Amino acid sequence: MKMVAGLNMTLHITVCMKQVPETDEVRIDRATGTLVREGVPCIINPPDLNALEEALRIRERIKSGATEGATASAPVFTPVVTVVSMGPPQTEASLRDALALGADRAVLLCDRAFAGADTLATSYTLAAAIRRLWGDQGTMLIICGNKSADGDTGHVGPQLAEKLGIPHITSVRRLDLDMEGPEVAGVRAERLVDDGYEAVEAPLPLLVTVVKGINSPRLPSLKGMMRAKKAVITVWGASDLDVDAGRTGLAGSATRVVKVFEPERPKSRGEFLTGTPEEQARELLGKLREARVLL
Amino acid sequence: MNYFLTEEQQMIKDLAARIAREKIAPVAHELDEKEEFPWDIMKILAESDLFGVWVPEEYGGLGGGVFEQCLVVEELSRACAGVATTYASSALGGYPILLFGTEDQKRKYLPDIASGRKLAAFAQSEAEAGSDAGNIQTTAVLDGDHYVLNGMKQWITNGGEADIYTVLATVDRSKGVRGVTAFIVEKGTPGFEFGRKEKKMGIRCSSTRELIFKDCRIPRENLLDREGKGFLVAMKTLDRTRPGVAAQAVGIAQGALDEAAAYARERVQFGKPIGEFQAIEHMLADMATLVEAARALTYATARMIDAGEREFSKESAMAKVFASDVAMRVTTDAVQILGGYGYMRDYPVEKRMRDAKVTQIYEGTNQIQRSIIGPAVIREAARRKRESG
Repeated sequence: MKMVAGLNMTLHITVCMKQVPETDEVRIDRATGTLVREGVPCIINPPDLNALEEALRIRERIKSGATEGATASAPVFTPVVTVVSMGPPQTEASLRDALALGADRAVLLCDRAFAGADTLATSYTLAAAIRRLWGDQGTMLIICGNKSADGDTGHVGPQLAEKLGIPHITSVRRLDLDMEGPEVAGVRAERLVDDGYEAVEAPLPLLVTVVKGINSPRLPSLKGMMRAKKAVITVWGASDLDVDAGRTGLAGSATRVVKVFEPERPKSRGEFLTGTPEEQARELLGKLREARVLL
Repeated sequence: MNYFLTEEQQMIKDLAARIAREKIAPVAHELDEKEEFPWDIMKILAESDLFGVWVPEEYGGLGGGVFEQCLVVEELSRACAGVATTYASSALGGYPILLFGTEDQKRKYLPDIASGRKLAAFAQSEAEAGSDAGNIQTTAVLDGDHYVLNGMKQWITNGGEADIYTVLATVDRSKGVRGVTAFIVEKGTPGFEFGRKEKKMGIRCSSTRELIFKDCRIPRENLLDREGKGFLVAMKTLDRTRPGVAAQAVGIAQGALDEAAAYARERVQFGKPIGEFQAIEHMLADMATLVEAARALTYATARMIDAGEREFSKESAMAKVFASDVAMRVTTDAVQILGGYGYMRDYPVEKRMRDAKVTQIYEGTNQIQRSIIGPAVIREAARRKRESG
């Protein structure tokens, strides 16, 4: 399915966001094997902030007509940045942070039926929300962080693209819009791979996941914070979406967390060798042989 | 101490603190060493709307006042007083327009100052006219629809970097203070150039430069208020910005106290942290008490001004004198607590001591401030005598 933003259309840029415990503060309850969440501050998953920043920059570039290949006249379609997050009610705070940074709209997917979701159930629910948001209206670009700081799977982005039947590009470190006159024809992306990067072109609609290095997220503005304080956040539960109850939350999850544990750290003691360099080398060699590291 | 900030004030303080911590503190040392103007930081402050906290909403600001401005200046100063000076001087250049400008002047200049698209500056000092504004030598002569400016201003903060300047010149040297007149001059006006960039003891990333006027013709409508009112414009402006200098001093002092307290906890001598020796404990106690007292006086003054009190020259001067003297003492003691490390430029307290010094000097020396406070005290005594007699 090829969709191109025509005259007077909207470019829907959707950012998927997850609220995670502040990275440095993760502790595991040894008794239950679950993450300790009480009293741990929650933040927007760091690469999701890069995703939002990229969305805001694209919106700014389009609005100022500064996009490469754009005609001199201002584009006739409007970019709208919507942030979607699935999570418990306190996720609203992170959505307000996103609004303060400049997102146009925020949607919270919140329902007991969504709780305990693995990546499969999460992408299923997000896909339903995005269908409800945009239907067949306008052109879509979905931007996600490449992975979450807590789950670290990197699954949700590609799974969501699959569910929506659109292409995806993962681990993007640079993203440019391809303009044909006032229309967005597609994107050109640099995708990070182990030994360099791949240059990829794709039409819209499209999903990309971005890496932290793609940009440096802005700080909120006071006017943005004041707007965000008063903004109404859309909250959708299972009954608001076209979803099958058996496919959301824990019920819809294909995986089960059996146990979360901290690996045992090897107990080792440092030992200082003294003497001349020759003596130290000789002693070290002896110890390595003794430990059967060297034979 | 809890100062019971409103939700909005807390938001402003938190955002300024975050920028100070995340964006300014990491580069403060480098900015100081290179004496490099902090444009990157100014851009961040602009995007965060912080330049507009004191500007009314109808001119694109956030509608706060002197107190909100003080909250921002204090937080920025905890990280780098040079950055804070640069930020605060834009308000110093903009306040005369807010207080004395015509509606057209306000609409033309304030939105750009509030958004941070343009920096402003205030130009009073000259080589022979510091506190003695009546001795200003820069002249302004009316010629048709233009004033023609000639002369040189000295030590102008944001000089060369700012786009909008409030400049004091005299329309009649024989009239002394009564000839002094304020004008708005835009950068780029033919005949308006910049001279030497000064090398300073502290606040080294801020720009301090000469302004040179050579037959510089500015439109007549750039006159602020009326001819001969320049000294009043300056005094009323400085009454409102002195709490900002006090807030800067409080921020510098707090930053030094934070460093000294952290060091006292960690530095071990004779088998225990030096913070457990009474000699150091008592120094920290005095420093903390002085900083809090300075903050309380600064906040009380700022809030009094914002509440609409008409006369506040004395309180404004008191806040500036007290806080800046506290900053000098507390930063000196912080250097002392850090000992050899305190004296080294690779450690962050000697910069604060250098930065603190200027708060006792600029926007009116502390001696001049006392010359405002003293006569006010005498006048009050005379009034009490009259009322009782």
